[in-house]
Amino acid sequence: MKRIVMRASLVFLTGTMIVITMTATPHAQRRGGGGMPGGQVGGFPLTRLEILTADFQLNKDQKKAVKALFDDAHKAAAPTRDALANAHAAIGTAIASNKSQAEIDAAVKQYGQQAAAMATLEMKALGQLMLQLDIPQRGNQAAVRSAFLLMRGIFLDAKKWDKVPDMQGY
Amino acid sequence: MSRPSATALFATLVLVPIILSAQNAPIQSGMGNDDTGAPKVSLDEPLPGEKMIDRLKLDDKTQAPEVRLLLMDASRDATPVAQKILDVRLRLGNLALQNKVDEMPAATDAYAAAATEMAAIEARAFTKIYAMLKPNQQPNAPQAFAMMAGIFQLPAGRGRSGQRGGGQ
Repeated sequence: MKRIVMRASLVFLTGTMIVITMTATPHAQRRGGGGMPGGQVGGFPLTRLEILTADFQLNKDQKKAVKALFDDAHKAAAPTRDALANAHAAIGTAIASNKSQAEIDAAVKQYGQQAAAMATLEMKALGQLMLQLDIPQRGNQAAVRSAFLLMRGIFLDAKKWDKVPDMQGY
Repeated sequence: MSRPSATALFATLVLVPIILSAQNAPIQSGMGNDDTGAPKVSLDEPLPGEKMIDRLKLDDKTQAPEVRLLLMDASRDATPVAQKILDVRLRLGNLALQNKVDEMPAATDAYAAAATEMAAIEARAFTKIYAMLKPNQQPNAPQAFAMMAGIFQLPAGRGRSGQRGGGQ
C-alpha cells in the first residue's frame, strides 16, 4: 500500500511539473495552428520535422530547407553531444568510484559547461529555423512556442534528430 | 520577412508570455479532448525514475520506496533550478534570433551555472541511491545514472494530440 502511495505521489509530482510548465503553451489547433510539440497521426506520434511541418504549415521548399538546416546542425553538434555524454558518465563514475566530493564537483561543473554548449547549439538552430519562415508563420505564436520546446535534446541522438521526441533529457 | 520583424515577434510572442502564461493558462489534463493542447502523461511509458529503479533491480519493498522518496525530495530542490534553466534558454533563443553573437557567451555561462546546479542535485540524489545498493546491483549504476540526465526537467515536447487528414 505504501509503495502504491509513493508511486502515485511520484507520478503526480512529475505529472504536475509537466502540466504546469507545458501549459505555458497555448492550446493546439488541429489545422495549422501549432501548439504543443508532440502529436499523433491516427495514433502514431509525429516526428520533430512532421510537427514543425504541421505547426508552421511549411511548404515543400521550406520543409526541405528546414530538414537540411537541422541535418547540418545535427552533424555539427556531434562533438558537443559526445562531450556531454562523456561528462555525464564521468559524474556517475566518480560517484561509483567513491571519489572525493571535490572530484565529483569538478565533474559536475564540466557537465554543466557541456550542457550549456548543447543548449546554445539548440537555440542557434531555432534562430536559423525562424529565418526560414515567412511573416505569417513567424506570427503563429503556438507554433513558435512548440518549436522552442521541441529544440530541447534535439541533437542528443547520435543517429538522427528527426524522431519522435522522447523522455531523454540532459 | 525582415530580421527585426522576426525578433520582435519572437520576443513578444514567446519570450515573455511563455513563462507568464504558465501561471495564467488553465491547467488541463487533455483527457477526453484531443484539442486542448494539454500534455498527456502516458501511463504506458515508465517514468525515468521507475526505469532507473528497474535497471538497478531494486527491492520493491525496501529499496524502491526509499529511492522514490529520494527522487521526490530532489525534485522539489530542482524545481527552481529547472525554471532558471528555462529562463536562460529563452534568453539564448532571443539572442540567437537577434544574432547578438557577442552577448551569447554570457548567457551560455549563465546556462552552465544553472545546469551545474541541476547536475549537482542529480549527483547528490544518485550518491544517496548508490549508497543503498547491494554489491550485485552496483554494476548497473552507470546505466542507471545515465537515466537520471535531465530527470528533473521537462522532457522535449510531448503530448499534443492531433489528427491529420480525414480524421478531423
